[in-house]
Amino acid sequence: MDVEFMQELGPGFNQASRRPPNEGPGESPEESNENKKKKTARVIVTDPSLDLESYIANYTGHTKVDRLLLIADRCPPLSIDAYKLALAELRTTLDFNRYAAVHSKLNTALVNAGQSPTPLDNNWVEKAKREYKDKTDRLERELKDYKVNLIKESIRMGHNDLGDHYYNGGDLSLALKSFMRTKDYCTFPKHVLDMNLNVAQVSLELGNFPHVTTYIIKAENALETSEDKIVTPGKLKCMGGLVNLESGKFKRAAKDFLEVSFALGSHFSKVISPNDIAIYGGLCALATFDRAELKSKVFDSADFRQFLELEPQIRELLQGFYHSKYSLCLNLLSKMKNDLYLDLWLHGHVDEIYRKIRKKALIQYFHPFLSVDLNKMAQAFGTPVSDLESELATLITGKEINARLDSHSKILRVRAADLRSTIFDKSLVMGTDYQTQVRHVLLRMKLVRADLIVKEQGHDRPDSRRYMTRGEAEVIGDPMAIDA
Amino acid sequence: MSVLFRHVMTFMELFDPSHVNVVPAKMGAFGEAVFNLARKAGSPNLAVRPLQIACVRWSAPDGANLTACHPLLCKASLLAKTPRAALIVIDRDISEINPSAFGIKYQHFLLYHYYGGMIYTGLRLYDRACQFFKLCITAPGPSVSAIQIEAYRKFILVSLLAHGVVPPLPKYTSPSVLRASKQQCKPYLEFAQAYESLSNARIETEFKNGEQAFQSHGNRGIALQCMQALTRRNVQQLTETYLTLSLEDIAKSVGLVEVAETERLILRMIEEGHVFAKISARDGGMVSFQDPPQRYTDVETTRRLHGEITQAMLLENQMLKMDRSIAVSKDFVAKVASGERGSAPPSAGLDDEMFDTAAWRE
Repeated sequence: MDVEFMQELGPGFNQASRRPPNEGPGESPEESNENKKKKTARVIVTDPSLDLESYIANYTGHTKVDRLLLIADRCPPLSIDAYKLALAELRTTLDFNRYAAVHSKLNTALVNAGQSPTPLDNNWVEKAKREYKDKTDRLERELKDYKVNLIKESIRMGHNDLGDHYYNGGDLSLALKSFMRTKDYCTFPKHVLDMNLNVAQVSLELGNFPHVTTYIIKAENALETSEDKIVTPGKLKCMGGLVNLESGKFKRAAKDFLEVSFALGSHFSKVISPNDIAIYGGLCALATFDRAELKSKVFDSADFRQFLELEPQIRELLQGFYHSKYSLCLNLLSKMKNDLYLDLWLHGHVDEIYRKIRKKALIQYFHPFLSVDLNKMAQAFGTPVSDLESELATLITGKEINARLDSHSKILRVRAADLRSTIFDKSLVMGTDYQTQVRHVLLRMKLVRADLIVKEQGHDRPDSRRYMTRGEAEVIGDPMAIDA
Repeated sequence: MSVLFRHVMTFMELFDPSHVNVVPAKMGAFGEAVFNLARKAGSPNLAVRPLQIACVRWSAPDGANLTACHPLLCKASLLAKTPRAALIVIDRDISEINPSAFGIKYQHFLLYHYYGGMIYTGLRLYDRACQFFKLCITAPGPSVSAIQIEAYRKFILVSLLAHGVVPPLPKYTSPSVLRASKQQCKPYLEFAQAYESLSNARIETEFKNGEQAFQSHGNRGIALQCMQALTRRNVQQLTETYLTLSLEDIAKSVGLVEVAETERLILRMIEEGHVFAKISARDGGMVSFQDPPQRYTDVETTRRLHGEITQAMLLENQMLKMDRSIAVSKDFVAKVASGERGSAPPSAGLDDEMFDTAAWRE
């Protein structure tokens, strides 16, 4: 279906080829939870227009590595560079397991490219291992001391430090546990907020989305007393948006991203960059908002306009759509598609979002007309007439367009609505439905009252055998055979 | 034999309902005996007439009561292949349940509605059949009867035939029935899912998968009918989507091989009034679909609406009466009183936070 879709969108779309998901190299455990939540087929991008260095400079921390690895995995031309950058980033942490895993992948990629593999820096790995263990021991010892002394604030700090340390070392589930343990030792609203924020962020990385939502809500409740009105709410909105995006609730995702204040800037670069907010928010809005909403929520939002300045392509796209320049839009979309396939959060949803946008474009195009010449419409969308026709047919079947196709003269016509008959139909059906429902319910109550209920009666179970043996049911089983 | 049945007839025509109500079990047994006798004699139609009269007279004057003879009549008329004979009884809705006067158990209720549904199915009155099956399926109770499962199977197929979709069961369906029906009716549910998608290939495979089950449950006939109705449903769908379409395209999209066959089908559908269209011989057969002529413009409509409204009001009154009778009933008052005296009900649901952390600590 997706292949068809790519063809529909015209040339420039067949650059991305599909491969069955099991063809890729073995995944390291860090990545496996990434792959579990994405059920879509892997898309291999061969000619990206992305500038890796400048793109990745927007991020820090784990998401930087995650993003690099995704690009390396999906985009062979960039894979060696991406692995190298990821290694450089990992060297600043203590996550030696992941370092080794990425390194072996780099070597595979190098061998595939016909270059000689690089040796693993064992010294660093050993050092990191030692350092990690020492620090763990030290922090745990400290925490024990704090617990003996029963100073709430110190215990909280101890747990927090340990959590940070685990997080830094890539041990997310332990980090999550540590952060959650701080809960009992929070004394100020600020602490509660920190705790919720930390838990939400780690859960997000772990892919435990329901958990993220719970903690976002909690954090938002704790927010009321906080003085920070920009960064933390922005972070929460971003995470909420990501969760909604991930679970395919594009409209809610769009709303979340649109509420992020531009002042968030790169404060949240360990999860999301301002450019991402523009892209995610813009695309989700385009896929789900109607024209009025686009205007009021997107173009009239001072904050989001600033975001859009960062991604002129998205701005053009939104405006093109708003001004009904659909072929421009579709061209832009097709240009962006490859890069979006390389995005950590978006890559699984690109096709779905594109489908929605295209559907909306078709509906919106037809909206002001009584009848439309399919040839002209096909031109505006850059698709062959026959494809357009079948696409429209599905829209009509799905009751998205109230129109009918004149296949002979290739015209799409609005269906003359016979409101009177419809209302008669509806009300008659409703009336009879109501009556039967009420009758059934009344009868049911009477059954219950008379204690005439289906229950097993000791000796003759299974109860129905006595009344309806299989044999009897078969003799008269097929009512179609009876009619004279 | 005929003498015996003459006597039976005489009794059925003359018995006094009020007397029978005192010994309903005897009357039920008698009905069963008549039925069995006729069946053993190889001519179940012998039992139809006496049972018919028994049902009508016993549940007189308004026919609102279910009697022990009702399911027997339905079964006899099914076996005798004279489904119309039962209509006089089953066309009246049951609205009273009185086990002590009419000797009924829950099996009677289930069987009556199951057989009734089958009769209506046979007579192509699918809506009514669905209602009967539904009544059987949604009968209250903690356990499940095999009759209910059979009814559910037929309900699925008949709904598909009538509407193309299977409506969800009402909320008050007992949970055990829901569970059992999910387990026992897998091929049916899968077939239904495929059917709702309207994709020919999927439906074919699901039909093949389920054919064995359909056959052994005696439902293959209805399933086959569903398959046949599919083409028509697809054509009807096309009328919603297209104004004109060539016969060739129609054949392609409804999955028929021959154009001539498609033409015949459409002609038949036009004649039956299912489709409003014209076929022009130009361009190798172009079908132009038209809007159905305006309906609801006659006196008949007003009359029908009026009737429906009166009916609805009657039911409303019945509801109110029932509501009132519950409100003043001893049990209800006692329950409300105890509720007021007792402490506030325990808070609903677990504290999710407790739940969360507990789960994480494990």
